[in-house]
Amino acid sequence: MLGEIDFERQEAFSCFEVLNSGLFPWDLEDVFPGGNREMTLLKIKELLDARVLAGEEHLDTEVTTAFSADLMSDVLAFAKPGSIMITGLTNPQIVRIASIVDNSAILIVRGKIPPDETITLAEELGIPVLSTKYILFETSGRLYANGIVGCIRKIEGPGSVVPL
Amino acid sequence: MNQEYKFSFPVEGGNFDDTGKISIEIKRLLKGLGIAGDVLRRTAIAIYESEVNIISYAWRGNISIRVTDDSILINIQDSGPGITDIEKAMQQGYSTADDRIREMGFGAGMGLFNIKNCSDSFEILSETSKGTLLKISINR
Repeated sequence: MLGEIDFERQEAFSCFEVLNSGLFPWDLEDVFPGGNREMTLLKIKELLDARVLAGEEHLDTEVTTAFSADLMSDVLAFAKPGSIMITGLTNPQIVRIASIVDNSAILIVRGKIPPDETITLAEELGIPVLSTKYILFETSGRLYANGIVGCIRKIEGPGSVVPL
Repeated sequence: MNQEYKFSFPVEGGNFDDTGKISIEIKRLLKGLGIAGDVLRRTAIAIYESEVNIISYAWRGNISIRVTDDSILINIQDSGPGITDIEKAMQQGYSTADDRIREMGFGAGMGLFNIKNCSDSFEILSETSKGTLLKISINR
């Protein structure tokens, strides 16, 4: 185990050593309880080199939590108000779901561009839509590394649903 | 003040493109009646899942809502094939959905479970080849 990392020495450490050194956080939630308050849609756009497809005027909205899913029933079950929905789906239903659970925005991954109906509906319901070329895993990881946390961390009990 | 509000919406089976439209409208109406926060969310989620169910499985149906001083009562009634095994249908992960439903991001066997989870009382009655009646209530 490393006591301290001497960056001057430029010695190569394995990821495992670095993470176990205690100098880097394993768990972002220990550093940002409830999420990094400094994250906004604009910062997310920049981090992920995303295109804004709807709701350009809402980019100053603060976002601290996220839920990634291609299953809309899971979004209905677990997404918290104000969280960003990260998905690979593009149909208009994603906008209606976001409106039902009060998502702050929708972030579409894998470079997909939704059909016009989705964008028109998003403008109508006031929900920003962004699109990034990063895949779902990369997108979630990059946001987590910047202090965006999940709506829930894990399911309690044997596959039961956490009470809303 | 003993005020009561009632409204009802028909839902057309198979109308996949409009999935969620009625739920959004109902949420807007409930918001206008001063319902907010967790109660509004749970009601909206239960109604959305119900709307998806009618569109996905039934021929036609109806969502009716009664708002009283202390609760929101929702009846979801449909004419359709009904549910042969309710116990199985209530289980997480059990689904008879086809590709059309799965493409929309549904059909993972979470619907009825989600609805029950959002409700304070939940009752389901179904008759094969006739239809299904779901009666739920959410305390304000």
